[in-house]
Amino acid sequence: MFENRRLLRVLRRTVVQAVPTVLGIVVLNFLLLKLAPGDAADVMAGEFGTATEETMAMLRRQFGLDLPLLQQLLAYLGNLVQFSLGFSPRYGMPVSELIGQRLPSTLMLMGLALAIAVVVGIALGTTMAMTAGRWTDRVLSVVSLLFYSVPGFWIGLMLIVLFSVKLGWLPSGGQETIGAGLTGLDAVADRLKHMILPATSLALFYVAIYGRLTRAAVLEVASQDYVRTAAAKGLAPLTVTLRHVLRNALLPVTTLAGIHFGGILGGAVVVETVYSWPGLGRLAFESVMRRDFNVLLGVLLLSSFLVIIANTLIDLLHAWLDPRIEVR
Amino acid sequence: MIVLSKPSPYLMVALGPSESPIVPKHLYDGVDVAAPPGPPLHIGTGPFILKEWVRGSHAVLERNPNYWDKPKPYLDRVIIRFMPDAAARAAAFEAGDLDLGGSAPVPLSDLARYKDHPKLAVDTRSFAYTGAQHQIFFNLDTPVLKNKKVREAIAHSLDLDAIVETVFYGQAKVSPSPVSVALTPWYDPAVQARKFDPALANKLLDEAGQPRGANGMRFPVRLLINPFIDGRLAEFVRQSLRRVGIDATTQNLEFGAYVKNVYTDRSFDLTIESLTNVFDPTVGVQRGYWSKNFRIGLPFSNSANYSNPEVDRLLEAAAIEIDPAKRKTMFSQFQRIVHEDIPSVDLISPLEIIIANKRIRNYAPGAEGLGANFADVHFVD
Repeated sequence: MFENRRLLRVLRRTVVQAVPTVLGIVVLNFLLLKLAPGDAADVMAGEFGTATEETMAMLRRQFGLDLPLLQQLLAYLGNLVQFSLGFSPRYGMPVSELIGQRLPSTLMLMGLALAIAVVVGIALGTTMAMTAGRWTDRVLSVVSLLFYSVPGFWIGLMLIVLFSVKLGWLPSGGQETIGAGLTGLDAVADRLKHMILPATSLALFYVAIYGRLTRAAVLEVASQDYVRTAAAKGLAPLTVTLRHVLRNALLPVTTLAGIHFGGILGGAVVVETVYSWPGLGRLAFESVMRRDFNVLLGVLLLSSFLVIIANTLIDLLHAWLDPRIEVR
Repeated sequence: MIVLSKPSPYLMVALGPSESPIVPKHLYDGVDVAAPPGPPLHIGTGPFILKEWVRGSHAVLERNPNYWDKPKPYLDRVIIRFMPDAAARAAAFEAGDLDLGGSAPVPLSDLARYKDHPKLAVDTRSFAYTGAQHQIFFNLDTPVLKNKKVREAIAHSLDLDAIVETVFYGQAKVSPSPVSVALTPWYDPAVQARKFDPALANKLLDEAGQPRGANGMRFPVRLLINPFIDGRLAEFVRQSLRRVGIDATTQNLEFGAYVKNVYTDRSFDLTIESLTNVFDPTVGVQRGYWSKNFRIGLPFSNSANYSNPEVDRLLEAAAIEIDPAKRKTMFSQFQRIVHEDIPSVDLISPLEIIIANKRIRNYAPGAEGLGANFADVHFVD
């Protein structure tokens, strides 16, 4: 009962705060994007190369770029009020459909990558802290530093070279075997096979972050009095580590993972590019290049929703991990 | 039936399928092209039917059983994959996931590795339908560049053979005339590149009243490059210019910003452009040199703001001349005048690079390269 009321209060607060936040994000994004030099007509005319002034004027009229700035903004907001993200002239389809096509695969890929990162990162960090100063810790520290500093595209390419080119175990890119017409479990397995390499390349960077963070937090918590008490009570070392140390050490990791989760819809342009993965990151990036701002605004808007949702979830998670934290 | 107000000598060539696909009259008749576009229609007369198109990932084309030219097409299915990263494409080729790729499918630095590949062949050619051409346009509104000696000096400061060998790994041809060497019917071989001669360039710049200052530099210029061209070309040109005392600064802009900078703001002094000649000089070359096509805000127009009445006259006459011999003479004259006036320094024509499975035949049967319709493509054992 009490829990439910608390939950309701959190949700109400989130909704009340989300509306002005989202409105601010839309207006700010819109204005920032308009500052970019050149518009969609410039890019399109540039790409076909033999445009005339008439065709450019026609393009601008079609895209609504000939209207004053304020009117363009109002038109966009008007669309949003009707739950429409507008139309992408570049792709010739509604933005919501375009994003909808890519949303599931992006969520799956990024979700898997973050899950791997959190699990492996925490395990790695705890191991490092438990063996602090010894060679296991040293080796793992060097490895995580390596993951952290090596650029994602390079790791991605090297994984492709090893597992696709040399060993031939995994596909080199894409999100499914095209035209294989797989169904049911075969299709799921096929998708998973295509996700292993990109998810791993994405995860390695976060593994390093979470590993380092967990190590530091665990070391700090391990020196607390109540940990000594727990050990003195005769609890098994593993129980002490998991129940007394790790639970308290998780707060910074979950905070950071929450921030990363919020950015999930932004995708990972580099990894998506290297693995030819049709994700939202690439869609957003290509929209910037093509000045296809309806699409970009749509992606940014969804991302901001996700950030708000992720923050709320993390608040709730914190309250559960550490009951002393009051959810305001 | 097309009724023309004037003869149009290039029209026949323009009717190739990659440039002018056949579209269904019953769907397009009476459609207002200026209206906001609806969902795209992909209905044509080609050998394949679009089965599936996942944007950003792939398109699947299935054999058209009703194709007019039986028993073609030979392939049951063509899968087109969209892979934005050249290194990833190289890996996919090596993993055996790809059979065919065009437009420099792998990084140029990787090409050598494919020479002795057991399954893949590298095919480098020029295709007359593309007329690839890279050139430097001068902004003739920049005071210092109004002096022809300065432009001549810049032309003498560039080693075109070295550009071909270093920047393009040998996968280009020196193309010194405004009409690309790839357009064999129209290129005039009498137009030759100015000799690479830094000493002469220095002398010309001194004569032009641009002595070296205290820091060894004569004057600054802003050098831009079309982002679809390998950025190392800008680096090469920048260093060549600095060697003769021209303080060039490069700016790497993405495409939208580049187009705006050059064609709307005109905030550049030199730009390395890729004014492709397409299949005919009237279509592809005229836009860059015709004074009536100096249009602020129009991409790939006359960026130099070059104006020569005789050039205008030749271009306009050649556009409606149906006698190929006379037309060739006009374009030759045009090329010689432009070469003399130096509104641009024409550099090279990059070769089309195709990587293909050794078992594939007829993937590029004509001048369109991979742009042809694939009806003849087949595998052999």
